[in-house]
Amino acid sequence: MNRAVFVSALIAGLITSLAIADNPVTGSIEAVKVVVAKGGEETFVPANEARPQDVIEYRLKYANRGEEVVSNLAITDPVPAGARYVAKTARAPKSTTVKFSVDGAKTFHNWPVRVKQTDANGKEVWVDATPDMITHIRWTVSGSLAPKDEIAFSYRAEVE
Amino acid sequence: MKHTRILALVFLVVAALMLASSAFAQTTPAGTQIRNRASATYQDLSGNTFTTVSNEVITVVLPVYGISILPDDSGETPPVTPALSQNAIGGQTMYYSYTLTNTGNDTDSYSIVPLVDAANTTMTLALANVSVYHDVNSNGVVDGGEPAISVGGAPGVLGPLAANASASLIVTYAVPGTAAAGEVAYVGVQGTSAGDAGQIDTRNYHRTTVVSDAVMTALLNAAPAFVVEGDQITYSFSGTNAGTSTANGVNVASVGLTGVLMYDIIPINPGSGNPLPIFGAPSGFPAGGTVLYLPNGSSTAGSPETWNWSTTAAAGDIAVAFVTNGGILSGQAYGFSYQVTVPVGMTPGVLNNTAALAYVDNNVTTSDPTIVVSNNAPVTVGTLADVLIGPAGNPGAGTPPNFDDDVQSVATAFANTSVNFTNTIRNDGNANDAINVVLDGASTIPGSWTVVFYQSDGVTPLADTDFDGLADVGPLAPGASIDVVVRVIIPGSQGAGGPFDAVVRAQSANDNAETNLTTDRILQVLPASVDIGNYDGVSGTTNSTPVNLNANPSTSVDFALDVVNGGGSSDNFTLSSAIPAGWTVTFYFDANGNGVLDPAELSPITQTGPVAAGSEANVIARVDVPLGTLPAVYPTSFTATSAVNATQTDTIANTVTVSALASVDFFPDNVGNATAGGTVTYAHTVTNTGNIADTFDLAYASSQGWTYVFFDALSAPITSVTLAPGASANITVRLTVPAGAVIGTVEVGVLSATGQVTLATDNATDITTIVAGNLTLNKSVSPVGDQVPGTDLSYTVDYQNLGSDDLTAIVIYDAVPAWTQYQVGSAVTGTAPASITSITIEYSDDNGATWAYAPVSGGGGAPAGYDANVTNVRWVFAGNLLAGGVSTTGVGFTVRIQ
Repeated sequence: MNRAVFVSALIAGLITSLAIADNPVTGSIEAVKVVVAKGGEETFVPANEARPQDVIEYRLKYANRGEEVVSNLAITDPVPAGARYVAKTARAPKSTTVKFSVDGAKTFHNWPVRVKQTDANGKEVWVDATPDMITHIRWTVSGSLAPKDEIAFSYRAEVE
Repeated sequence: MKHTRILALVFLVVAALMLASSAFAQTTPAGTQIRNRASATYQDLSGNTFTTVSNEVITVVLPVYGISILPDDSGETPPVTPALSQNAIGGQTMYYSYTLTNTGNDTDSYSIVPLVDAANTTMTLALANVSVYHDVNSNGVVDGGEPAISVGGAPGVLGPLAANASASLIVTYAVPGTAAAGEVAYVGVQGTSAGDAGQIDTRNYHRTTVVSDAVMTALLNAAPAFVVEGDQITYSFSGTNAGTSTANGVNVASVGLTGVLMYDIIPINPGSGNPLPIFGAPSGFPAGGTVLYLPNGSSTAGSPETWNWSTTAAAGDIAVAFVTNGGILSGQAYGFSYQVTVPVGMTPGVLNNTAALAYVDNNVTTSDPTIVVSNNAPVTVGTLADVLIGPAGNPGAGTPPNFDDDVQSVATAFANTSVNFTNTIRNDGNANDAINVVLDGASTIPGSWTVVFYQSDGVTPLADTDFDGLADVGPLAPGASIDVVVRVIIPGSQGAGGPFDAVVRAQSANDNAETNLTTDRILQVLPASVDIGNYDGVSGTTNSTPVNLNANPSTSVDFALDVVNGGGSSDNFTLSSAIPAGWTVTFYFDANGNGVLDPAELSPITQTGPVAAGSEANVIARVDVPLGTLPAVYPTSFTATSAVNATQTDTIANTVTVSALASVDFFPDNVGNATAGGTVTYAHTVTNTGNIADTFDLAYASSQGWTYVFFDALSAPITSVTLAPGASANITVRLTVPAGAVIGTVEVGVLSATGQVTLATDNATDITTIVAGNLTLNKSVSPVGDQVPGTDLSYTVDYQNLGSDDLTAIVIYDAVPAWTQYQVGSAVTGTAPASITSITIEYSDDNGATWAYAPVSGGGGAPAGYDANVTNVRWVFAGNLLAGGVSTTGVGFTVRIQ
């Protein structure tokens, strides 16, 4: 039960101190390439290699291997460099919300993310972010994860 | 290639064109590793927050190949709009500039061959007459030393060419000297990828029209070919009227001037969208012409002489021109040049530029004006790396010019914890930069520490996105900032000390020599720490005043102790003690923290178990003082040792005072039978349970006035024993029963040991019942040996008549031993010789005074199945026990140890 977490005084909110702890929850990620047949049927092959414009499906699995229920589970995945998020492909199980960041995981928002841009007249306007602007995806599980439970998420990204 | 065709049309409509590098979507280079690793945070039931990271999946990008040759034609045969179009006179050598771009993601070579549309070419021109050159300096003409790619119509190879790189081609041939006005040639160029033969860019037909008129050439030169911010680029446009007639001027209405109009739309800085600013004064020739400027916001639609030109320069001008004073004569040269400044922070890459001229020919059947477009004169804007790193939100902190001395500090940090510093990195260069984050060698943190770099979320480790072996922040746009979290992990073994510096280096991936440092400093490390002291009833503190407890020998005392975790992480403390030889100490966890060892807490421990930082564990140290311990003050100290850092210990030095104690124990009480005239011997132990040596006089008081004699272990008669503190003597006492003693007489002998000096005294009582004859009883117990409370003990009394006469009216008495309880129904009659007709079992609850008691389960408060009221059991025999008669199995009963 060596799991105590000790948080020391924060210094200007920028420096935190954390105890080093065990980890009952384990996560894994798998990358598969989406191969679309002529009829539109999709098959998947391991994405060890891909060409530009190929679509990779990232499949994330998190399992509670401990003996206690865990809660407030939040999974963050950076859209990898060299690939761009494919709109509306983030999948999440029930009781899970998925949000997106366009600022390197500083803030997360529902889809579509609104961003401020300067238009041709030099005026700042709010527009919907395009999928290639997504830097991170975060799933937040509202329930708890019981021991031996597993939870899965996925999304797709296109090789640039 | 729809988008490239659109570009070609634009090419012809406007005179100058920026071939922005973004015309082709940049693809990820072959061999790039696309890496993905997810992270998670969650909480356990106690509210502790954890992070976990997944495995990393890696996808390697495979090569794709592509080729683009621009400009394109409009696609018809012959094309309605050729890729390029020039007029010529017979015998003139033609130069047509094309740009080939590697649109794949890997280095590639290209097979280049010219094309002649023979069906639509009316002049005498064979494929063998056409050559293709590599225009290395992109000035639109074949200079000495520039290599021929294709000669005589045979395919030749261009390359290798890096992904996204471009090369200028010149397709050249001579118009036959005999060519007559109106004859045309359609000539194109085709390129085929070596990596993928299916990647072909073909056609690109231009048109040469033989005229008997003015023929204006247009060449654009840019110098230097490579620039960085702050440099000037000189664009020089030049040409000659190679034709036979004068080129007439166009009327530039906005300024009221007429002449040949040489003009260039100024290249755009793709980062800002603004044209590069003009530097100095443009000039042109022949003399008498006028420099014109196109103000910012002007339209560039329609024919260039209709644009809103001005003779006055202004900031933000989007085009510059030179209009000659009237026409250009046959054979006359012309040109203009201007300079632009490369702005600070200009996006690196290839800056394309194409100029043009407009004139009016002498052929009334063609539309006017005639536009002649120059070659593309690309300039490469170099990459400048400039990185800054500093404390959170302040990447520019530090002393110029190096900005390396900025520091952010945390005053204290505990061992076995980690400290997160946020550092901000800014890209002050002009290109995307996957800035590396490295722990610099100037760091002073010990080698046992660990430093890990995370993204701003604090959980995703920085990856090596550009595969240069160093973790980086990913591509960071010019001017952009990004936070990284530097986690400094202090091992539990770290002792007190400081300051410790983690010097973090931001290093440009574009130029490894470009670095900046910042220092994340821990001023003082507080090691794992423990404070053990006496119980004070307050969490997190101890009573450090030594405590003395008084104890007698053969007793125990309980020290209530507090063990406080003064470190910064959960710790577990091993408990130890320093006590006099022969003493023992046992530690218990004082679960309810009341300073008292409660029955529920009687599980010995050797460690406190986890103690949260700043919290305490309450323990009880029970010290057993051995029998015979002499009076003195004994130091008894207790030590707690950190599991995180075994060098961290603390000790509380308490004492136990053992007072002088006079005490003796005479043990046990016995019960037995004897016959008249016989003797019975009882064993006793006399123990000096005090801590003063003494000689104990042995005495007795007989209820019958009979005589007892004491013997030592060697059967020598004694009247006293001398015992050191704690020492014991095994003695026996023998009772001699006078002849004639009445059977059934009960003799009570009270034996005493009394110290001569200390007068400590104790008694033992032996009760002897006088029985008949030569009946001997042999009592045994099962199980034998020392037993724990709760054990059932079965006593059996075997009997035998040793005499020569029969025995009658036999009654065997036995007592339930002290500290035991009779098991209801356990008394048995055994198997007697046949001459015994019956055996009746009777019970007494008053030490044998009466025998009418009937045992009941739970009697006297005993557990079910037992009766604590039963004090004695007797077996009343009917019949005779013949001489020599012996029990097969004796009588007996069972008791349970309380």
